[in-house]
Amino acid sequence: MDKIDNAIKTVHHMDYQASHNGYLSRIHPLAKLLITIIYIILLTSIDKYNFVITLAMSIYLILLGIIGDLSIKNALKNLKVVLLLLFVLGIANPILDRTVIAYIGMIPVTTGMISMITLLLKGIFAILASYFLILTTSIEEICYALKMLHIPDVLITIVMLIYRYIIVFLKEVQKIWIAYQMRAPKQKGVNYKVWGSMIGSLMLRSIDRAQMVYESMELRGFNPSTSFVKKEKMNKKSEIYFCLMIGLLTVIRFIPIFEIIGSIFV
Amino acid sequence: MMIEVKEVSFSYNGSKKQTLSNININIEEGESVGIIGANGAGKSTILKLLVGLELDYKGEIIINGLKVEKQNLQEIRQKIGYVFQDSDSQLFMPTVYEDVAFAPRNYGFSKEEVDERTIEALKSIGIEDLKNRQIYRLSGGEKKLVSIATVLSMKPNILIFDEPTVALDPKNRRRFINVLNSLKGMKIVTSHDLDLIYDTCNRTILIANGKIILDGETKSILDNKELLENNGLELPLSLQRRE
Repeated sequence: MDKIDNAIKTVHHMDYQASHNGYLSRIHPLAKLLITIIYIILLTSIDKYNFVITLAMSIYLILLGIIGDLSIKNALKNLKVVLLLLFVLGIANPILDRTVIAYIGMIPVTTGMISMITLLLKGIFAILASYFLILTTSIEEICYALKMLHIPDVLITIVMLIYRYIIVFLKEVQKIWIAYQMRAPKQKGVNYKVWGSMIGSLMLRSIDRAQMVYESMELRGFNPSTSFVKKEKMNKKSEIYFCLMIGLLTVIRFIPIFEIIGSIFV
Repeated sequence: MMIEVKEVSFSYNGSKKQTLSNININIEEGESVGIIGANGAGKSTILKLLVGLELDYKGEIIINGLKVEKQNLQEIRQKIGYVFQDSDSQLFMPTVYEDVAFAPRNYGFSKEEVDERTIEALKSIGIEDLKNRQIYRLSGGEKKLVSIATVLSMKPNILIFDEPTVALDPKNRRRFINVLNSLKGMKIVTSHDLDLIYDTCNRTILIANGKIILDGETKSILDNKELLENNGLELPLSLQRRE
């Protein structure tokens, strides 16, 4: 119950934060979306053994955290399930790739270990960058930016509705869960015998609610082909932000900053 | 004539049973009309047909001279504000301001006009102080008032309310009635709450099994105990006490 409640609150909080994030909320959504896409492309283009450059890519996230007052710690906490999945995906690397390249004391460091850590970092950074985009840009603005990039309306509508329906779905889960617990107070979890009927009921109720939400949107003028059209051009502040961020990303991706800093001290 | 419903019949997909059968209703500008009837009588279906949420009907529905059909929906929906029974389904944006501004934004008004309409809608029902509140932190009564503001921002000349007082406590119900009475333009209210109809509508349409049983002055219909009981309803509480 608490978990569902927390999930609903988290989604609401993210939604609220997106339009009330001060400086970053005022930056044009297209600038933020493009920076995020470019960041992920640059991140994935790094060689799987290049741990140092991968680590340097965290500078962007730290900077974003400072500008937007976004907590990386909280973000990692909210994304722990996804991070666990990343870890599972990377765990095979040290087993399959066992070439020793160095020793730390007596412990051998293999290329598999390096590639696993790099893969993990890449995954974490890419997810954090997307998460920060959602925290600083409302879903309507992201859809508007996608529209400017000429993504088909159908896809944009799906993105928007999936996001809106997450809350609808969670609320229905919460209602069913409460109703179940009231009549099965001594049980831990849901008895497997009612899984089928509960999931069926959950689906039907979620579809009904989703239909009503869509009707409400439709009655207030929502139209996939026109609703994402906004007549705001990118302002000077957004242009400067875009150029600075792209400049920063280019520097940290292609210039070995950490090595240069290290060489100064050695 | 603002709303003309001529010989309208309707069945939901796959159902042989007619939800509405040969319905005729004419509503003039400025009228407040209550639609009453037992569960499943067809009250909400009439509202859905008026705003074009169901288009597969027989007969003719004309709103402000425009037939309710796909190509006219955008224009018709700008003139009609539909307040849902369930406010949670109506409100889907993160904050009150965002939700009230949703329709004007979608209809392409400028940023300044969207802001002006939003503030005006909130002011008109006295909830300007809720402007920056998160929707999920609102009480049931506040959600209902915000739902009204979400349609008022389009300055509609027809307002439709589907079971508006469901889940409202007495204080919020009274507040809602005061707001409803203060709103100008045509109002159509469906409800089981006959006291609400008594307090807000000068004309009432009684429906049973998809047919209009009676259409007339509210007082004469809601005073008729036998008529109401024969159609699955009861006298309004305020009149029961008088008996």
